Amino acid sequence: MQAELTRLRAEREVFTAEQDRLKARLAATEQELADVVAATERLAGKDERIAELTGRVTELTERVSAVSAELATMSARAAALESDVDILRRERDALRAELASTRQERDSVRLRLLDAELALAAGESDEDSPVAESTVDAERVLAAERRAGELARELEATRQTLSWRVTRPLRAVRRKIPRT
Amino acid sequence: MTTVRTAGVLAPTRPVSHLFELRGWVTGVGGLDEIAVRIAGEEANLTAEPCPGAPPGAVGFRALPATWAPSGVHRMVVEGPDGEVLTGCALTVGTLPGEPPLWLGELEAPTAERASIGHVVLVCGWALLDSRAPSLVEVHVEGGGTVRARTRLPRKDVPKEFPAFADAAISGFEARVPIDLPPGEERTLSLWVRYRTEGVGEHVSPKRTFVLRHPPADPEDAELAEELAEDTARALARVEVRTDPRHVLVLTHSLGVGGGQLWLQELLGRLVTEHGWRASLVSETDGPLRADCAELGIPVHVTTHYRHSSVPAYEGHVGELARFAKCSGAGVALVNTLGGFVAADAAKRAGLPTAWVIHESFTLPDFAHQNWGPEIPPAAVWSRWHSTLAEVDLLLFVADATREMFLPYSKPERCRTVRYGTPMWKFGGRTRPEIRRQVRNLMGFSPDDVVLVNIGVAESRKGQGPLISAMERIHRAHPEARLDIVGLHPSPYGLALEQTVRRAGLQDVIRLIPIQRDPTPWLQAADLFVNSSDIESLPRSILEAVCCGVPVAATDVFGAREMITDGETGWLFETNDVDALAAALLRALETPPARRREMARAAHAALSGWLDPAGYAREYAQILTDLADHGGSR
Repeated sequence: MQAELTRLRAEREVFTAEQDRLKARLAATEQELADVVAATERLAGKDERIAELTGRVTELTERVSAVSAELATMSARAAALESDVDILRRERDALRAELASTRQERDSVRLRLLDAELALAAGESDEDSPVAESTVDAERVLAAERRAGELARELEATRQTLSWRVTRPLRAVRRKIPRT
Repeated sequence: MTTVRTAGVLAPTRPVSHLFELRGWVTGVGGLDEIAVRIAGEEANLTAEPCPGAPPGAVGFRALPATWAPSGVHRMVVEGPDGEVLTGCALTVGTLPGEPPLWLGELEAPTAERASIGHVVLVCGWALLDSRAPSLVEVHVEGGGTVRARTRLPRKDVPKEFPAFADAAISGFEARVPIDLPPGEERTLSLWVRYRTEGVGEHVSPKRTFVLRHPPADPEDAELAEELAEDTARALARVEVRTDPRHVLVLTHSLGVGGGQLWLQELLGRLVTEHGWRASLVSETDGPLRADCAELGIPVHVTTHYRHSSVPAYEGHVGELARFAKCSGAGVALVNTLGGFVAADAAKRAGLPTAWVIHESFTLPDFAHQNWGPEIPPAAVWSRWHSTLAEVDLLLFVADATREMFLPYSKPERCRTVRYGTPMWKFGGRTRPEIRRQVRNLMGFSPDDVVLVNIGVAESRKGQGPLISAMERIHRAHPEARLDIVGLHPSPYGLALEQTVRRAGLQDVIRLIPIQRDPTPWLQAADLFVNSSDIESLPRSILEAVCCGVPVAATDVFGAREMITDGETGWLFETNDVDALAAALLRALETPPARRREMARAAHAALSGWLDPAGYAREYAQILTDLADHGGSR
């Protein structure tokens, strides 16, 4: 009986020790559980923040996309305007070239008219100016020149005759006597 | 005993061509060495040849002009041994029907034998078309398009060879054609030239092939430029200066009397006296406007001509000017004229917000070629010119056309047009009749004269030579027209103008007046102002004419077309074309005086919004204030 009691006491001590160990373990587990609960609660808050940030990012991304789209539209419009300006400049330059050509035609007509007016005026008023002689005039002049040449030749021939040489002193005296 | 000599010629009864022959005879001489035959004053070559119809015993001859005879009616005379005239006749020389007009000339550059240097083709030579300088010379260069050459440039050699030709002394022409050719490359190109005069015809030259060689860039230049620029930057970093935002440093090319300088003088006067600015001025050259600066209390520093012939010279001058700019204490810089890129670069390196005013409507290659030759500036300096145009805070222009030309070098928001006004704005677009009468009396004009005035320093760019030719062409149709050209000075071009007027016998029609600081009396006397320049941005003289109520005929270039509407507020004509100029003068002279006055009023009304110089001075004051306050961050 005593032996049985001793054995039971020993078992009780073992059980008590086991109970303490289990209690300590339970407490540790409870603490772990509390930590896990706390951590879980913290994580739940971050998710909300992440969700919030994700939402913000999405919103910003959408705005960036909208701005990019607007920028692309503006760039396209600017490019189109630049292209229009280039086209207009080319058109303007082509028109200027056409204008220059038209002006040249107009000026050409005006100057031809000027030349005609001047030629007409010259025909009416410049009768005494040096112009090429007419065929008739030229022939008359040429005949006179020929006759002059023939007379000069005759004169020269006369000068070579004996009588012309003999009468030279007489002609000299006559030149000295003043004519009345 | 005197020998009697007679002579006869078979005078042509129809016009003859420029190279012709005459036959004739002489009596009383032993041989042809005793006589001379002169055609248009020049001795002809004689060969013995029997002449039909000659009297017995006569010596027959065939006379050929020593060179081409110019178009016109000429006197031919036969002279005896003592120079006595034995006979003579008049003959008409000209282009015969079906023949092309006589072209005499030479295309001196470019040549096939020698490569042209640079990236601009200089095309030059001389030409006479049917005895006169052609109205139009068009140069076509492969890869460079068509360029109208400047004509009526002085030549000393041509009149020696062709003394009987009236325009020989002004038969020169010149064109510059930029080609897109990178440094170190060469290209074989071809060109041809068209010479044309209305009523005469045209001559087209054969195609000529030549080589254009752009010298390679010195490989060490870029590195050296960078090294020297760093030296300058280090030196400038050691300088600490307190700047005054109401102090402008002005860098300009000249203090002489000229359009660009007078513009600046007017602006500075107003900035200082009306807008409370302090100014300092740096100029390449001295001149009479220095005294005006002194009166305004503007200190003037005269430096050398901008140096850009080599990298060390360029960096050296930029370094000097940058140090000067930084030490000046100015809060902003204003650079004047396209050639001022050395100054603009210096101002930027000194850290000054900088505005650069570009009046010139030349392309950079053209500007460089005509001012410094084909190889200057070297590639490394050339790239600084480009980068300075890109970096400078504001490029200011006087005409939209000039702005458009320089847009590719910068950004649109950095390029702005500010047109300038003139103190003559005070005349309000009219001249009082009594003033006009007085001035015309003083100048010796009669009430019936139609007075044409051209104002500008005599130089080929201003086109006074073509204007004289146009006047020569029309004055017989409009004997009432008188032309005063104001701006003569004794340059080769000025002397050639005088000679041209004398030779044409137009001294009673055209007067050449020396440069005048105040040309107002001529504008007050004028019935028509003629601007014949082949390149202009915003000609000051046109503004002044408009302010005096004088209608304007102007070349259709750059700013001129922004001021004048053809047929409504004046007359425009194509550049470098004497025919176009003559036709424009005819249009203007044939416009009734009342209509001319109406057009002048319309021109004044169209420009009145910016003719007051107070306006552009105010705009400049605001621009400089903005730059000084906000720097150049655009």
